[in-house]
Amino acid sequence: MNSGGHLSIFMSGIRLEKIVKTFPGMKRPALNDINFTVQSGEFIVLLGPSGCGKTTLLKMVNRLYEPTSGDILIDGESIFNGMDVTELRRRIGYVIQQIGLFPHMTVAQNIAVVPHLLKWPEGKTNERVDRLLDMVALPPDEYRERYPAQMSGGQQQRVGVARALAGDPGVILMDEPFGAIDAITRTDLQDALLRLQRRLRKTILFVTHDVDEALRLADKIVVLHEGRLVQFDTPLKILTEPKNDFVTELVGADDVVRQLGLVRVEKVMAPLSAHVPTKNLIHRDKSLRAALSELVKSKADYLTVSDGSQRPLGFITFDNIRDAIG
Amino acid sequence: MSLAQETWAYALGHLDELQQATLDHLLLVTSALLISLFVCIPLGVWTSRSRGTANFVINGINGVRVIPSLAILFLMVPYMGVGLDTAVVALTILAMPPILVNTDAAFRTIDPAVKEAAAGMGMTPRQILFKVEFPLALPVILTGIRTASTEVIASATLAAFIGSGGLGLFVQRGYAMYRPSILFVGAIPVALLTLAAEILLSSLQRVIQPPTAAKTA
Repeated sequence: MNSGGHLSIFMSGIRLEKIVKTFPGMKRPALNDINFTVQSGEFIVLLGPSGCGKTTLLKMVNRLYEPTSGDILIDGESIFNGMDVTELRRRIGYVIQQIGLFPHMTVAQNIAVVPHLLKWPEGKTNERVDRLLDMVALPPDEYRERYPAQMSGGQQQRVGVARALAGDPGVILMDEPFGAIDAITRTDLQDALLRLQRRLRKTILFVTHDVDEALRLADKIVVLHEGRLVQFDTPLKILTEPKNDFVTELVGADDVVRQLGLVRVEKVMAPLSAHVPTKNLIHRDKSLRAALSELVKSKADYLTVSDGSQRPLGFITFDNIRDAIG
Repeated sequence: MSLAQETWAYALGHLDELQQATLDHLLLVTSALLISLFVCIPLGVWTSRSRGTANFVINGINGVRVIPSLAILFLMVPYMGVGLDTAVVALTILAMPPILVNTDAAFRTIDPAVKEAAAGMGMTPRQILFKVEFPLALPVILTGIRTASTEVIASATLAAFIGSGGLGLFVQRGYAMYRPSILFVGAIPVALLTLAAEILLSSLQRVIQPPTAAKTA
């Protein structure tokens, strides 16, 4: 077992092999022969209607549920063979819909739980707490000593995310983390999560039944239906090449205008080539619909994609958009 | 001489005895409370985790509640004789129900999401119990202790009737001699002790209660 702050280097990819889960007294397995591999640093969304098994699957990765058969490997090592459960969980961040902050602890104490379990020195833990609060846009001076009950739901879940990141885990599990939060705050939190992930490159498994959220956040989506894996693909592929009627209906693949609103510019932009001068900047997180609108308005033949600074990342044209969605 | 003056004079005249009686009273009360805590807190944690045990144990203990305190004291005499031990056992039986019932309720009502988060973060069951569940249950357990201590401080007065001393001595004596002033020398300190315990425990409760309302620090 490795120790200290470099866990993320060791822990990364996840592989699920032939996962089956049958709950006692149930005829149909809750999960049936689930196989997929997640690369280190990928943001994977488990998507499906309620009862499809997505939460059960997620909770197997930190062993809150045990599979009936099958194996889960993290960085090539089975989590069921000789690995201590609490040790495993301390190396995996965990965020739940009900947030579950400890009401008797301050924000700082909540975030410091895993560092304490990992026996980090006090100075390092304090620094970490402040840095994480900064990362989730809660100024430490103002929020460190607050209690959860003194914050809004959105702020509490920011703390929830910070707490999950505290031990610097390589893997983060998120179980409908924004499900109970109002729509406007939810968008804020999604943006914040995307920004964080761009910096931290954690391997994230994120459960949701909200298709828009899945398409917005995911590098790849696992579509589950009645305990089976239906499709494992990028958001764009899921929209443009849905595997069956269930997926088509789930993501509304027939509705092109809606799709334009859900796919981020950075997912379809063309790489930067030397001869293209920078003009008409658009942020990488903007939707294709925004890009299209901008192209029409500006009468330009392309837009330069940026990350908010002046640094160009790529460019996007009418053709890119048409090819991606059409 | 007025009743108050008479009471005051009697108290001044029996200071040593009063002091001893107060100490005996406190000894009775604290022993009974401590034994109840040692028995009922672990028992309450246990019952909170299993429905079946809870029904059995809690109904059993609640059954004891309907027996009047005086009856419990006298019921013990044939088995244990008279004296301090008997009184402590009887008072312990009185103190147990509120502590057990509140401990059980406190642990039962902890938000399951909080426990799941704790487990998911890699706390051991022991760490979850002591770092999460106990601190959260404590305010409710304290309410039980408050109820129990009020009951025990008052009932300990009756212990004098089975020969175990305490402030009940004066009550008993005053009653036997038809002298209310002597009775008050016992009754007033009992009332003061009850008040003191109430104030002490409720302020303790305020200190350990985590903030629940959305107030800005």
